[in-house]
Amino acid sequence: MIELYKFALNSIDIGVIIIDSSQTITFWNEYMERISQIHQSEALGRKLSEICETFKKKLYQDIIESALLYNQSRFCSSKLHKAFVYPKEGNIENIRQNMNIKPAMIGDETYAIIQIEDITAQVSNEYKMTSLINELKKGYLEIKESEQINRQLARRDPLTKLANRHAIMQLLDNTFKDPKTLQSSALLFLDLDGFKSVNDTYGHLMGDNLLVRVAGILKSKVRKDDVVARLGGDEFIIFISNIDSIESLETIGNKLVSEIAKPILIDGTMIHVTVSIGIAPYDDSIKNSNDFIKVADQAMYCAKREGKNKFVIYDKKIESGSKGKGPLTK
Amino acid sequence: MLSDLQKDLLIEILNTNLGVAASLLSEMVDQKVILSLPSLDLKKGNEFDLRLLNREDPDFNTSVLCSMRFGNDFSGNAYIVFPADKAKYLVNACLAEEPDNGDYYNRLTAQDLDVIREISNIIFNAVIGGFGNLLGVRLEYSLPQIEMTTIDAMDSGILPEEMHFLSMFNSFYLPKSQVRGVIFIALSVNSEKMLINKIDEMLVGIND
Amino acid sequence: MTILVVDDSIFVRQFIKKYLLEINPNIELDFAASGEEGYEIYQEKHPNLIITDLLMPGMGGQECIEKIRSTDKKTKIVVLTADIQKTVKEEIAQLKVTAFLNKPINKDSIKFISGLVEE
Repeated sequence: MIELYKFALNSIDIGVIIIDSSQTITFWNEYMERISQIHQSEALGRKLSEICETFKKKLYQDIIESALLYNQSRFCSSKLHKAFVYPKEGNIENIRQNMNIKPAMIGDETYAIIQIEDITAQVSNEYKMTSLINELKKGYLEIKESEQINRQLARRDPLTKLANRHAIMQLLDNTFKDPKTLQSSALLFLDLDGFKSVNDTYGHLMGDNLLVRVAGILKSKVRKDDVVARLGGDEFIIFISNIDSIESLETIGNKLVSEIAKPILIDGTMIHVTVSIGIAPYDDSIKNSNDFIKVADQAMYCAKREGKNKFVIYDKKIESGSKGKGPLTK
Repeated sequence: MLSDLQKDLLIEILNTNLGVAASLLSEMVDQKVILSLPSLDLKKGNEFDLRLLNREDPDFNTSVLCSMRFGNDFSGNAYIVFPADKAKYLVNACLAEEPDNGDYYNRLTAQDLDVIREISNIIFNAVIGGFGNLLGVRLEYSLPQIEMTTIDAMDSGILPEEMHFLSMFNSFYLPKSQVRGVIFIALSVNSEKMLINKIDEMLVGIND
Repeated sequence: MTILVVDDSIFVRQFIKKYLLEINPNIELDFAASGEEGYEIYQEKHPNLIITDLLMPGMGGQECIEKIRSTDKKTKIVVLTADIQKTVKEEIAQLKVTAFLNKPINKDSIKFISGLVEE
């Protein structure tokens, strides 16, 4: 029977060491032989700390004594303790083991049963997995970052090929450094009326096509040096420079409103939209690009409130709102 | 039923054992551990409900549950519970490392659970072992089981009503890493009797 | 010679009473079960020595000692506690207590305390 038990202990994949109350090794299984490269004939009868240096440390001596004298079981995790038994030769850096010590009393004799569980492979796999995850994460973040940079660097709206928000903001910022141009410039803020119902009725593909067509119309109706940009959604901005009078602003406003009000044939379907335009000629109260856009936006909002399909030119001198075309303020 | 005096001394002994446990934990994580006042009651079997431990505290919704059975003469179950999202802090504190804040990749690995197993082993040794020493009794216990669980999945009502148990409960707090936890021990009636006998011995002559 | 014992455990209070008086029957003992009570009695009786636990309901021992030490650096204070953490010992040491004793309480600790009284 004993032979069977010995065989069993020698077959398992855990190192088993049995020591007596004087810490002398009385059993050393085959797994221990494999991981330590010390044969049991060398180990039996010797003190544990002579065969395994690690156990010389005070911490582990205390743990062993607690088991032998005070009957305390103890578990030592590989993360905190690294390892206990090292091979005589070979790379020892990465070895990881859990250790478990349990006291045993047989008759009057006290023993301690020490189990060494080698989890080097498990730890190494965990490490590789974590490294892989971290690599992927890093790669993902890098891609996101470069996408963002690309988006910023790109100056074109991908759908309409007009200048994008970034581009027009840059342009405006630059213009503020050039007072001469600034003085004779104006900003138009355009918002399509009824765009949402086109999307809802005909789908987004139709909506996209419409935006492309509108972009084309806008470009064809302004001068070469004027800049047409798509702010986003169905909002557009046109920057006009070298304006000589309010009349020319009214002319362009009328032109754009009437052109866009004409039905547009897209893929065999007649699409009707109109546009509300806010026109902001530059004046001294406008301090930066954001102000400029805000003013034009306010004027556009007036146009919306007054029934859409029209333009409104911003004039801060008029405080209260009044009906009709022409200069207006909120 | 426990008399006031018996309960008082039992709590005093429990405090002493908890003090040792706190000191060991404090050494491991290099942080101060704040103990609360323990509570101790005789309960009916069907009052065994781990979920009550953390009822007040939403942090404990997903918890790490360390459990251990001990026997033979002195027998019962012991539990340590603390919020799962703080578990990594505890583990890293043992290594004197700071975890990345709220990082998705801060999951508990099998190795981390081993560390928690070690921590709870040390605490259980101090508390249960302390009682064992007091009684001069050889304790048999296994390694703690560690599992991640939600409150609802915790054991409750698993004991028959007639099977009374002595419940000992205490919570602890690590201010530096904001880890809160509870330790709960359910002692079998026999073990409770052993304790009471010992306590009565100690109380002889102390009373006027 | 008056000694104030501050501890929420009846057992500890009784234990100290019995064994301290055995060694020195002339000691006058006062008892408190919490930090607040302890501070009140301290203000009333001005004991020569205070023995105090740390973990108590309401005002704990540390807070009570801080209050006493804010105005009184001379009264001897002995801390008797189950909380043996190093950080706790260091914090208490800052308060210049006379001695820090670990629980469980036993006759040796009582002997030590009665020795302090003699000085």
